[in-house]
Amino acid sequence: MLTQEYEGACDCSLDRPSESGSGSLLVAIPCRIGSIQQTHHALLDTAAEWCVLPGEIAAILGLDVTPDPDIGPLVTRFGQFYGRMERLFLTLIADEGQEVQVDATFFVCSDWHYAMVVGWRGCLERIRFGLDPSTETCCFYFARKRERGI
Amino acid sequence: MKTFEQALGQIDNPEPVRLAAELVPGPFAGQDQAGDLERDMAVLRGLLGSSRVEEARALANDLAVRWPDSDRVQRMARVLAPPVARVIPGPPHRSMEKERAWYRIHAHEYPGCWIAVLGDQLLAADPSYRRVHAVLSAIPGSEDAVLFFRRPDVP
Repeated sequence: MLTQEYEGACDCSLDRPSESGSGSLLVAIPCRIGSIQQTHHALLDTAAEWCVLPGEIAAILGLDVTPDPDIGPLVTRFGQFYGRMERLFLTLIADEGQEVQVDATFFVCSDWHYAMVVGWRGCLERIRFGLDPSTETCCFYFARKRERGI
Repeated sequence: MKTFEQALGQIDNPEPVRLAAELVPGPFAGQDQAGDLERDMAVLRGLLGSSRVEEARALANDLAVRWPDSDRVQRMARVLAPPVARVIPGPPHRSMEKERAWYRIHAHEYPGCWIAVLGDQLLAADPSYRRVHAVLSAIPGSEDAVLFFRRPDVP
């Protein structure tokens, strides 16, 4: 038996095929982005290289959404997207324990008309997390990353 | 010292041990400084484009020292730095089960939309996040709303 300790946890949303009618199984976690107070559900995607922020949200936050020529395209299943990198606070909301805030790197793209994505680089790579799908929804556990043995 | 072409060649042919300082020559080894900066940034772009992020981070840090007056370089070093996580003390957030229950039942009615829900009430739904945000801005108490994005229906 292994015991993991986390600092916060929150029910997240599962998009089950039987409910949505599509063939996808998506996990959406509640979070806050920057200074926007409302809770947003973002796609948890450990295979995404970067977090992705839709341009409209970036504009609300007062960010420049002009593609940066120093940044190459983001290659996705929807095609290639051009944008820029920005640093923003992403707060993982906890309905148990405490919130964890990440000074995360986002790929900001004005042509990204999909959900916000919480990806690996610049965010999840420094968070210890686990998913428990045994409840009716699904519980997302999270904590700051610690080195093994500490 | 590797040439620029050799450095770019490495991007397609990764080696197990790579030092950022080896990837680019010093600032005054080649032509003019502007050319050197462009060359450095091209190498950085190449590393990012081939998902060699840790090397890109190391190189960006080196370049930040080498080009202290370049906004482009300083910006890249800043945005590529590893993320920092911290705990925010405070009481737990309220349950969002009502909003999730509403979403499970009604989300299919709003494909491709941003959907703002508070309790079991829909506050706004629109493909434009900007319009949803504008509606929320006019509703007192809407800072507690929960937003979802319903992806377009997949055939």
